[in-house]
Amino acid sequence: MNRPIITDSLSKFFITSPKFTEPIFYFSRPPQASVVIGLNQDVYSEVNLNFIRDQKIQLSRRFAGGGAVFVDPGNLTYVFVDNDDGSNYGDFKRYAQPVISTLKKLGVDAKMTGRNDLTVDGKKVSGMSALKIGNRFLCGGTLMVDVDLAAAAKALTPPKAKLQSKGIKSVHSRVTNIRQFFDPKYKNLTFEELEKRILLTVFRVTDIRDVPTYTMTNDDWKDVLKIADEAYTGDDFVMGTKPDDDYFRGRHFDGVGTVEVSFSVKNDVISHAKIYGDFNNPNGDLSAIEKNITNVPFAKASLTEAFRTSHLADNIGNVSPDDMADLMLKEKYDLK
Amino acid sequence: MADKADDSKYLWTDKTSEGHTRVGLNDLARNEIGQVTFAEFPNKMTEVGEGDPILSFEGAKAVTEIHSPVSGKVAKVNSDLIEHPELLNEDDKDKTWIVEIF
Repeated sequence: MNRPIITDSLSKFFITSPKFTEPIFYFSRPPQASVVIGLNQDVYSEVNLNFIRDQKIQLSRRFAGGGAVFVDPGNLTYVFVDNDDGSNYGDFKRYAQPVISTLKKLGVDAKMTGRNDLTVDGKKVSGMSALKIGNRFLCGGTLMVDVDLAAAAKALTPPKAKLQSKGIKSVHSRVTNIRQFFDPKYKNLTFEELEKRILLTVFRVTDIRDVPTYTMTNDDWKDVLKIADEAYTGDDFVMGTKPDDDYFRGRHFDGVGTVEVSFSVKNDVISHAKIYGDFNNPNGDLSAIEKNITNVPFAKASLTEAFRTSHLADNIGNVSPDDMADLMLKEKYDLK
Repeated sequence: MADKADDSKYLWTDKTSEGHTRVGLNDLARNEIGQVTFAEFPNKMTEVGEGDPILSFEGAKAVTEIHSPVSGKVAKVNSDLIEHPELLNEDDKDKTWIVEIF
């Protein structure tokens, strides 16, 4: 379980293996510190690569959308795997509810803010992401209990856009641990106790022995490792290619997330474009948009039309062609 | 300066799935101009009127400009032609297109 890619492959296993058709729930806690970035993020503008290399902090990229997170043994990740019934996929609140009510009983007043964040007193304590394959999907979150916040702040260097739109100064002040909010009698609550409480809420039982449990077999682990090996297409998947374009612009869209475009202009037309972001749309086809805006004149009407014919709703989310064109054209969206 | 002209006999036009009009060089043009060795687009071509120049190019038999058969805004430009003007010599619409208008 030491490689971050294993936890990701585990979720993929539970989603895709024909062995499972029912909903599944599980926890994971990273044995060592790592940074996990979203499927579509640009690692070079999200992570302080020098710091994580010096501190031997692992780096991985999840198969799902979402933003960059720092996880260490002080973090508890919970994952639901479920079947799409037409209303549950994308309903982050539904899958956060058991955790919210468990925390409430411990004295923590956690609220759902943004699309998929949990905050206490305006500070983020949990982020969620989703991934759908076929008719099954995962929806889960990271819960910060005893995370090394100073290391998290140094490791993550978010672009200006996101911070400006949320009006906050740094990652360090944006995130916090929940332990400080526990009622005094729960101050020393162990992870095992916390997990047990969440399990009782999720499965709606009062006795932990009534929680149906599945134990992974050796064959199951073989399948998980197989998924990990297939997915690990080398450091390329994690690192991506360092953007080397004339422009790198981005902005935050409420209800969607940050969308960034790295692009170059030659002879007054877009000669290259690559889209990045932390929006939660892992099934979108960003390369189709990139192809569609290449060779388009670097001008408002032409770019708006190109985005209009790019199926933005399917590939990114609720962003308008007009706003996407402005994102590329206006200097105020510069992130370089 | 750029004069307006009717070059529709030298160009093919196709409607794309998004309703744009793709314009490209046809065989008649290739026969008259010969092997193309140089191509250049007008600067900041974001909109064209009918008869406005959309490409200047040099062939074995002629140096000339070709003019748009339709008016409208420019959706796309085949920039590959700048580095690879020889694409215009082939009988392939994916290679000989010049602009896409909407």
